[in-house]
Amino acid sequence: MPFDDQKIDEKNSDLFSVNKGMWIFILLDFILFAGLLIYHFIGGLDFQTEYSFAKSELLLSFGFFNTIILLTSGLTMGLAKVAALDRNKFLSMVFISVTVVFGLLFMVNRVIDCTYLAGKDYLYGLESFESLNEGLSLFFTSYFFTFFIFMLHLFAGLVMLFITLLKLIKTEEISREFSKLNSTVVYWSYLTMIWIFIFPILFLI
Amino acid sequence: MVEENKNIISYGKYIISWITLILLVVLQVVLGGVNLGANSNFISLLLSSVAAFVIISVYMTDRSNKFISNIFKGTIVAEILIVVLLDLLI
Repeated sequence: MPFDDQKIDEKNSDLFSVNKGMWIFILLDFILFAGLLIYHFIGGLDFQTEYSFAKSELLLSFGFFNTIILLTSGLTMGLAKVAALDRNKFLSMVFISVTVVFGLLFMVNRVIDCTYLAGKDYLYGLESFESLNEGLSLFFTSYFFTFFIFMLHLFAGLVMLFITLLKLIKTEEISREFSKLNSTVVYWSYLTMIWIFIFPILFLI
Repeated sequence: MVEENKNIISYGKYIISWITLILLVVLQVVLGGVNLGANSNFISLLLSSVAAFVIISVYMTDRSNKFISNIFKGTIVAEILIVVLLDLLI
């Protein structure tokens, strides 16, 4: 049966709906990230040698590991939704908690990455950063700016996860929190989707 | 009715999509290490776009705002077309 033809039980419909405000935010935010990544990509066309060198200085293994972490956190959020559909509140809370752990792990990894780059004098804001040539300076400026914006989003995502978790703990009937849960799943999946573009553009291309 | 809901989302569906996404990322990294010339960027962005489409289709489900949801899917499809077009032109 095609996906769109499948029907949803009325009492579960909130688990498959997101408010329009969230979608508008996601669409506008996607444009912001697209702009940032296009800016970084075009910079790479002008300073090919510097960008290649800068990429060789990054911790690709950390970037890859973070991608796996974020994709797996997306999976656990999805599984939290399936558990909610099964009216299994405990399992849903376990999956959300695992997602929180993955989110925190991602943040810790980013801090390690930034510390590593700071040790190599590539961190934007350091005095030694001023002495970098134009290409390297452009690369690391857009690199850190993109990361900063992404980390703000991730932090907001973690706050949403905590709120959803608290609401699930408090509620007696899980279906009352379906709408909130689905919004959190959609937002967290959106973060995963953005990272899917950030990772190759900053680390690989 | 409950069975119909389970057809829309299930543990298996999410796990299969997760495996697909992991494979796409691994492929991206492996191909990133292979010198494919000018096509490297194109293939990498194409794989990202496919992964993004999987995420939108499976994880970002919204049955009440299908129009907005489809706009988002359309944006990714348009992005794939632009990437293909740029690769052909450059």
